[in-house]
Amino acid sequence: MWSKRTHKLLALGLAVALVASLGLTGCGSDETEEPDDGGAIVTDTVKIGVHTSLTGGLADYGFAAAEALKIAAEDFSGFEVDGVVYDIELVIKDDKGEPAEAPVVAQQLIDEGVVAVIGTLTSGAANAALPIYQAAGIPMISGSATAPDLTEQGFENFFRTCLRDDVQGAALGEWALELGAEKVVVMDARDDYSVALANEVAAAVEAGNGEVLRQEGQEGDVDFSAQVNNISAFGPDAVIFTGYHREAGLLFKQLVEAGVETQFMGGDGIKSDLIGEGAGGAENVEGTLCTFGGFAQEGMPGYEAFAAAFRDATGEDAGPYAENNYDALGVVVTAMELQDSTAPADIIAGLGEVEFQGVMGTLAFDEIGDVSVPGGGGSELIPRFEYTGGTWVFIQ
Amino acid sequence: MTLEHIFGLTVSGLTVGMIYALIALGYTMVYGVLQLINFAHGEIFTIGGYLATSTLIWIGVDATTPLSLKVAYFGLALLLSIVLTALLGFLIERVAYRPLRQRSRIIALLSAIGVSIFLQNGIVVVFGPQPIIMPTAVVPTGFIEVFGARIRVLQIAIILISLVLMGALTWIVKGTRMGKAMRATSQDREAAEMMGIETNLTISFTFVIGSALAAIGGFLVAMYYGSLQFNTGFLYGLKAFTAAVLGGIGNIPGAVVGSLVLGLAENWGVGLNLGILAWLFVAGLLLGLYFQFVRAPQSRIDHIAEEFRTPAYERAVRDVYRFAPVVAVKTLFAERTDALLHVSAQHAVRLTAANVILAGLAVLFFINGDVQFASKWQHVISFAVLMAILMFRPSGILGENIQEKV
Repeated sequence: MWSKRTHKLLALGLAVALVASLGLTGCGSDETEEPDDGGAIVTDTVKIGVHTSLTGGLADYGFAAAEALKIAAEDFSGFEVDGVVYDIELVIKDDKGEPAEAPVVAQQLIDEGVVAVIGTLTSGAANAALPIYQAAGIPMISGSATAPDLTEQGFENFFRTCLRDDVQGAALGEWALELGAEKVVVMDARDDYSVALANEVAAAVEAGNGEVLRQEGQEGDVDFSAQVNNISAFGPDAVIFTGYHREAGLLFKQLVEAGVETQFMGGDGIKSDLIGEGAGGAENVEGTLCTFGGFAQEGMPGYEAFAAAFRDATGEDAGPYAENNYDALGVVVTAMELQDSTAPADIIAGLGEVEFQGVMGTLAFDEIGDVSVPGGGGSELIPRFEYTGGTWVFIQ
Repeated sequence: MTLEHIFGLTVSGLTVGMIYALIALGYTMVYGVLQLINFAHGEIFTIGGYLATSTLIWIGVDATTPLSLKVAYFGLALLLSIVLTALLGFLIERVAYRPLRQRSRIIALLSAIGVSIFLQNGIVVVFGPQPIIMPTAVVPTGFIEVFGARIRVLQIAIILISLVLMGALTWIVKGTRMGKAMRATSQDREAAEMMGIETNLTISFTFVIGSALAAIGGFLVAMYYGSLQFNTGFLYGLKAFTAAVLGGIGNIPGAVVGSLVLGLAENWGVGLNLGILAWLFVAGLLLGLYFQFVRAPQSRIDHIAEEFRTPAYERAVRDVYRFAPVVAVKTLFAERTDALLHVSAQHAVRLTAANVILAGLAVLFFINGDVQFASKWQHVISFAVLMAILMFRPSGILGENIQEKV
C-alpha cells in the first residue's frame, strides 16, 4: 500500500496538472480577427461539422471522408458571403459507425456551433442522428448514407451526394442474373443499410425468376458456421453479401474453407481492398464482384485532379466515397453563396436550389434531398468492380 | 435436410463450443474462488490472441518456412502469449481486485468493467483499431470428408487441444496441492486461511490459469477465423459468461457442458429444420415426464420425517404429482393443508405446465417441419435456451457445486 504522503503528493501533482491545462486552453481560444476600419476586407470563420467514423469497422471509409473534407476545406475557404470573406473550420467527430453513438456526436457538434454537418458515414447512424439535427435546424449532407428511407421520411434538412440503395440493389441483382445465376443467397448484416440493400437485391433476383435464400449475419460476428452450412446445403450459383468488408471477408473465407464453390458478390460496403486480408488472403476472394453507390469515377470530370490532390495530402489513394464528401462541402458553400448567408436555415433553403459543378459533375438535389442524376437514369449508372490481385478493378 | 448438413452443423457447434469453454473456464474458476464476475476476461482472451498473432507476424512466417520451423515458431508464439497474458491476469487481480476485496461486491464488479474498458482501449492504442490478420501460412488448411461433410483439420485440432487442456485442468484441481488449496479457498476463504492455506497466492494462481486458457482460446480463434479485432473479446466474453451461467457458475464441468450446449444451440437453432428440432423437445418432454412421475415425488417422500411417514400420506404426495393438475389444484384450494403437500402441489402444477408447453412446441414444430428459423434469430435462440434452462434449473445445468465450487 502507498503511504499517506505519496497520496498527498499525487493529489498535489494532479491539481497542478489540472490548473495548467485550464490555463493552456484559456490561451488557445482567442482567434477572432478584429475588422479594420472601413474598406478593408472583413474575414471570419464558419464552422462545418464532420460527423464520420474514424474508428471501428469502417475506419478506412471514415479516413477517406475526413481527409477529402480537409482538402475541400482548404479549396473552398475564402468564399464571400454578405461582404465577409469566410474561412472554413472543420469540427471532426467520430461515431464509430454506431447508431448508439451518433446522437451523442450530433449533440456535441450542435453545441460546438456548426452551421452545417457533412455526414454521417453510415445509414444506421444517419437515422439515429437525423432527428437531433432536424430539431436544431442544422442541414446534414451525407456523402455515403445510401439507405432509401433516409430521404423519404420528410426531413427537409437531409441531403446526400450518393446514389440510393434501391438503384444499387437492382443493379446488383440484375448483374447476378446476367451471369446466369439461378439460385442466389442474399445475406445482410442486420443494419439499416445492408437490410435495405438486400431487400432490393432479393426483389430484383426474384423478379428475374431466380431462387433466393435469405440469410442474416450481424456486424461484429466472426463465426458464420450456421449460415455457411445453410448456404452449402442450398448450393447457390452466387452469394451476395450486402454488409461491410470485414464480415464479408470472414464469410467468404469460411465459405471457401467449407468447399462452397460459388460467385461472391456484394454492394459498396465490401469495396475496400482490406477485404482480402479479412478473408485470410486475397486468393480466397479473387474474382469477387461488387457494385458501388457512387457514380463511376471514370466518367467524372474532376476525379483525376482530386485523386492526385488526395494522394499528395495523405500519401494514400482516395478511398470509397472520398469524392462524394468533397462535393458535399462544395454544395454547402455554394448554398451559402446563393443565399448570401451562413445561417443554417438559409443553407437548407439554398441546398434545394443549388447547382454545383464538382468533382463528380453537375450536382443538384431533388425535392426530397436525393442527388439528381444529370439526364435521369437508373441501375445502368451503377459502376461495377472486380477484385483482382488484391485490389478492386473497374470493369464497367 | 441431409445427414451431411446435420453433421457439419454439429462439428461447427462443437468447435465453437470448445472455444467458449476455454474462456468460460476462466469466468467460472474466478467466480468459484472470489464470487466475482471478471468482466475483463474477454479482453484477456483478445490480448492473448493479439500477442500470439503479432509474434508470428514479427517473426515473419510465410509459405516458404519449413514445417519443423513453423511448429517451433508456433510454439514460441503460443508460449510468449501464455506467459504475458498470465502475467496480465495476475496484475489485474493484484491492482484492480485485491485492494477492493473487503468492499462490497458491486465495487469489485465496477472495477472489473473499468478494467475491461481500459484494456479494450489499450489494444486500440497499441495495435490500432484495424483487425490484426493471422499469417495464412501457419494455419493448417487440410480437411477430411466425413459423411460428405467437410471437416477441417483445424476444427479437429481445436476440439482435441481443448479436451487435453480441460483434462489437465481437472488434474490440477483434483490432483495437486494447489488444486486442493483452490477448492478449500472456494469453500470458505477464512477457514482455509486459518488452516494455513495462502489464499492470496491461490487466488493469483486461479487468475494465472484462467488467463492462460483464455490466451490459448484467443490464439485458436485467430487461427480459425484468420483475424481478431480489438472488440472481438466483448462478444466472446459475453457468450462464454452465458455458457458458464448456463452450466452452473463456479462449476468447472458445468462450464464445459454449458459451452457445448450454447455452441450447438447457435448452430442447430438456425441450421436445422423445425421437424428435427422437434425431437429435442420430445427428448425434453420424456425427461420432464420422468421428473414429474418418478423423480420429484420420490424426493418429496424422502423428505417426510420418520414420525409422519404413513402409506396414506405417501400416496397423497404421489397423487399430487400423478393427477396434477386436478388433485394439485384441489390441494392448493383446500382450506387446511400441510406445508409439504402445499409445496408439492405448486411444484406439480409448474411441472405439468412445462410438460404441456414442451409437448405443444414439439407438435407445433412437427407441423411446420420443413421450415427453418431465419439466421437473424441466432442470438435470440441461444438466449431463449439460456432462459428456459435457468427457469427450471436456476443454478444451471450441472448446478453450482456447493461442496467444491472450483
